Amino acid sequence: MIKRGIGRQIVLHYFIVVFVTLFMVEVIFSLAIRMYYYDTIKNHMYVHSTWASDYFQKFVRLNAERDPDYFTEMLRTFELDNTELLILNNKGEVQASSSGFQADKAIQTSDVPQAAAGNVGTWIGRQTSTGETVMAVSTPLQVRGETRYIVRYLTSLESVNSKLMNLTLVSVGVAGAVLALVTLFSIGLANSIVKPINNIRAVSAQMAKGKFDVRIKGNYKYELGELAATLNYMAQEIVRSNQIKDDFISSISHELRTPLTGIKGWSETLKLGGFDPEETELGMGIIAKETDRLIGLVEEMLDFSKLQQNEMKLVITVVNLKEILQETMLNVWAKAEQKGIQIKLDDHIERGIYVNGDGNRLKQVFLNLVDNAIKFSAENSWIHFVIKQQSDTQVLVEVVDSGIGISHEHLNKVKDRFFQVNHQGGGTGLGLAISQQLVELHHGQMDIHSELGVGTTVSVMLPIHEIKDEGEVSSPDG
Amino acid sequence: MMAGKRLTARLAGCLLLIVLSGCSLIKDPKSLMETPQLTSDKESLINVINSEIKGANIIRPRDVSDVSSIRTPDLNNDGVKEAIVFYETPDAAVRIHGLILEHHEDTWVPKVHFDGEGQVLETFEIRDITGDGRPDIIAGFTSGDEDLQKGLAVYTYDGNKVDKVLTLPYNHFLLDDLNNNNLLDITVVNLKRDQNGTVTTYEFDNGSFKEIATIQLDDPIKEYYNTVSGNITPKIKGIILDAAFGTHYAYSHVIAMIDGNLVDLLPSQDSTFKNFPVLSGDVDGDGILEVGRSEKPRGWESFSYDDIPLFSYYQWDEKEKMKFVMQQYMDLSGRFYFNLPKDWWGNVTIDTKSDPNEHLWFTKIDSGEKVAEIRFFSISEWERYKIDWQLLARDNDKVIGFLSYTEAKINKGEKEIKR
Repeated sequence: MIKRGIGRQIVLHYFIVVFVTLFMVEVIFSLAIRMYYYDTIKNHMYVHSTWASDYFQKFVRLNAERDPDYFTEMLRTFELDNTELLILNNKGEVQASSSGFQADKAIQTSDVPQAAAGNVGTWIGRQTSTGETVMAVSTPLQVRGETRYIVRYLTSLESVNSKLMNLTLVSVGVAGAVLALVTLFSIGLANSIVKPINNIRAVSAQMAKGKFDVRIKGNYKYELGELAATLNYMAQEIVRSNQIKDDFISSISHELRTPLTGIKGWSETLKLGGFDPEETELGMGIIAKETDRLIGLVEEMLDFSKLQQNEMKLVITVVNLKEILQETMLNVWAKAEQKGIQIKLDDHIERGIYVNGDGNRLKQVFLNLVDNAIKFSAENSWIHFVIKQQSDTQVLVEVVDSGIGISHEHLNKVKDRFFQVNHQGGGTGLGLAISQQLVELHHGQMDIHSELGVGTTVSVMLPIHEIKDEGEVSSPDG
Repeated sequence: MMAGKRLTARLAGCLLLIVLSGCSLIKDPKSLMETPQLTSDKESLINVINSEIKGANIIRPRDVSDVSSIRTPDLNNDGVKEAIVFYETPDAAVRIHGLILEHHEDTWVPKVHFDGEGQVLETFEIRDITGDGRPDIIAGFTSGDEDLQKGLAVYTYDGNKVDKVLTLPYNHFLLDDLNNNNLLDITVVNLKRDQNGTVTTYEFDNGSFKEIATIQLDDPIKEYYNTVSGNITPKIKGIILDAAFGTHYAYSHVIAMIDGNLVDLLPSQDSTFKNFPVLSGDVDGDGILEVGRSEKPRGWESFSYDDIPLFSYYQWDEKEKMKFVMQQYMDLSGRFYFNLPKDWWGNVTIDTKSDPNEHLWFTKIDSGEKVAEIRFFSISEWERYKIDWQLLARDNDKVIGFLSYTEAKINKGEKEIKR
């Protein structure tokens, strides 16, 4: 009827819940109605017998057991429509019966001893002679302070039982109708959930086949809406990162080819021979320089892949941050000098600043930042290293330049791997990504603020090592 | 989802209400009660009788010992049950009729109708009185007025016809074997009001009833309020007649069958005098009849006779004449009775300050020491006293308690007179 799947599951759950509910209601209803019918009948006989017994004690000959009409009178007093009335003695032997027949034997059912003991006895069971289901209510009749007689009413429960059966059948029918109705409802309800899920499933199946340009359409609510949006976003991201990867490959190929072209050209030229030593030295110098550049590129990529796979091992010691910055400045001095750029350390702290970290890796971070600053700064401009204590536990290092800056739209992406604002500039596009991850490995934080045409400020926040003992401090290259 | 479910539930509720409230689905349980079916055998018997008597009414005998109207003995001793029923046709010349049916395979076949006497069926017994092994029908009739003479009829049935073998006037009749010859005889008590009474015993012999003994009693009374037959002594059988005179005074005759004659063993009324209609009978269940008397407790001689009734029972004895058997305190309103322990007789009396509706003290005659109390409590009072007192009887608003200072326990049990 309904296809195997979540829809059928939902309908089935509805069905089970409603079925169990109805079943319990049905059982309770049947028991309650049965109790109601039986109790009413029992009470009817009981109340009549107490009333009649009272009347009999008060007005009918109490003291006249010798009166020939004693039992006839008693039968007339206690008589109740639609019942058989028996007057028993306290041993259960029949003294008089409304049926007119002589009784065959004493009555043994459980209601009689109960009545003989002074209580009201009730018994429901089958008459052995006729197989009819009957209810017997026996009440004791006190004469002279003792239970002398037992008034026993007997009524047939056959039509009550068939009525109860009818009622049960009707209520089962009603319950069945309700169940059918609810099941129909639940099919509709299930569809409202199943349709979007099916739609999302179809689209995601297409995505799995590689079609990332499809999108989930439709305005779904709650979890389903979120699921659709997430899937759409995921597809979009996949497309974008593919693009970045492609760009990277093309730029890295370019990066690799440029030095290789130089090396190949010069090595072939030198192979021809016949050059004076000066020219030969120049050629070899170029080959060495280009090889260094290749090695740099490959190392950068190695670092990156280590960081990616969480295999980067830091050699953590206590390092003097100022020393590292000074060394960094010395390393780039020559490069800056070429472009006429001035590098200056803006030191706002009197004492030495120490951090827990890998000195080489921290130097790599700052070298990368200052290298970028030089790369994107105009000639004869300046670059500032600012170092200041942000709080008791944190130190802030800023690399401030007055270069070309980064536009707002690119600012969010510069830290992504492989991203380059301008592919002509050379490089892998990994530098900032590596720096960022190295800073994070040092439990620090790196932020970039930039304005196009004004300059860029990269700030690195690092936790300060609390110095307890001067002996702890060691040299950064140790 | 939830909304949907709730809506469904409401819809179902409404539907259920409509279905259950409107039509006749739920009925008053009382209207569904039915008289239980009789067994098919009885049912068919009733049907056959009803169609046979054509709208007349089946009647019950006015008899305490058995008020059933339809009886099924084997009347002609052929191994097949017969049914006997009496019915009345109020407008016909003969008012009461009997009907005998025979059981044939699974159905009942009407065999004989026979005429009864009078207007009312007084008693109706099935006993073999003719000594032929076949039960006979002994029926008593009246014209409806209790004071008028009753008529006794004995019918026999041989399988084809009903013979009336005896008709007698009577006031009381007793079926017993007074002369100990293993044949039931019938003893008829007749009373000419305010003149005399006659007791006559008949026995069936050679096809008819013969009078075997008779005695005339000089009883200028209104009625014998109780007659009982049985053993007077372990060997002698007889009857006891309780005769009422005056407003509620009474005395008894003990008449024994001795050597084929009826003998009045206590011709003097004094020894059996009672100021309440005490019933004679086998009070202690030993198979021998006792004569009842009422006695004043010691100390009450100057009080009216009606105040405190102690009922005493005596057996007749050849030597002692009257042998004490037991004594009973009877509440005059019939709320309870109390059998006094046997050793109290002659030793214990009821204190004269006792009020039979409030409080009774039983005290020793010689020392005045209390031996027991009977007291009426309200139901709330009873809650406080019930630890020490034994429950004697209880009615709607009163509890009657018994407190014993000796070994004596409540003694009511089965020792009331058998009737």
